[in-house]
Amino acid sequence: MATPGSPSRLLLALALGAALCGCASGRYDWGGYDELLYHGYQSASRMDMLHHALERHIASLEARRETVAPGLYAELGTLCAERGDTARAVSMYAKERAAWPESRALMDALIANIDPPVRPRREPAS
Amino acid sequence: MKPLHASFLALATSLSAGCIQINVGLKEGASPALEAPARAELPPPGALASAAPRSILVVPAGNWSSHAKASELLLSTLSRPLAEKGYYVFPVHTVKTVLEREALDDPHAGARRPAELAARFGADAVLYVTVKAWDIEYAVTHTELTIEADYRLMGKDGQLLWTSTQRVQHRPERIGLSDERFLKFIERSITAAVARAVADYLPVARRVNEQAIITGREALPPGPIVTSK
Repeated sequence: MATPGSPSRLLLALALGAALCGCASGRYDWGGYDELLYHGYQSASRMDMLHHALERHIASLEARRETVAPGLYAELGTLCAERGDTARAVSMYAKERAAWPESRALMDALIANIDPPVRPRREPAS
Repeated sequence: MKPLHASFLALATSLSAGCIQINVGLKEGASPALEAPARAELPPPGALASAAPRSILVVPAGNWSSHAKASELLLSTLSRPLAEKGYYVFPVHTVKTVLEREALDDPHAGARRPAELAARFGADAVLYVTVKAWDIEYAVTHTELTIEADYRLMGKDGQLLWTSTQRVQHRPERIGLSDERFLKFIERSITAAVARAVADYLPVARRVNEQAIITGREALPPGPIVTSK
């Protein structure tokens, strides 16, 4: 077994957690969202893990043409905005709005008020 | 306080053998969160059915516990049961950043009325969550974690739709620390705040929310969203 707290052990725990919760209720595949957000609030440095996990999770849901759970696109958008990637944030807010029309008023406001304004930006590698 | 905290962190890192979760920013004293609406009686029968909300905005309504981050930790595990129950849930982290930005712009914003919030976010209903307890009782033989929370769902016209109060007590086999000497050290010399910071409340937080929304006796009735997965 890896040393406690090592990335591999943490990943294993997260994967296990995600798998356990994935089959608990079944309407959506959350990709470990609640657990990663919880840890992100515990220590801000862990918000990056939520960011990366959401990127991967949403890409895989889109590839499988599955519904992305309420809020996940927008949360990824906000994490992108917090890191200055406003172009990607806007694109995620637009996806949330398209997937969930209930979010329209908030997404419109977020897109209109994004700061700094959208500028062209290359997608990060990986 | 600060030097003690720093040395504790160093010690914790070197001694602990469990999946320790240290919250560096933890401090005693509840942060003044948004004010809860005045305490009201039970919702009138049929209020929820006639309002028939489709989307729910979740906001922290207060933190009576001594864990400064209790509200956001509890809210992080609330979207899931609400969405699984058939509601659109506004993204809690996104909403938090919006509310915090507005609080910076207008520190006197004060209480957020449900009608005002619902209108500005385009929500059908607002779920106010108050953390009433986020405690740890620790000893060498056992440790008990307790979370108690109060839920109040208000319609966009300000009417009360549904309420719930839940309390979960949990005795984990371990609290994230397996080194007994370390546990004894905590017991002897460190405040409850530190024990609270390293204990794993995630399963307790999940259970409190699931009890309120899904499994409890007066759980929230199902929402209208139907998905085919």
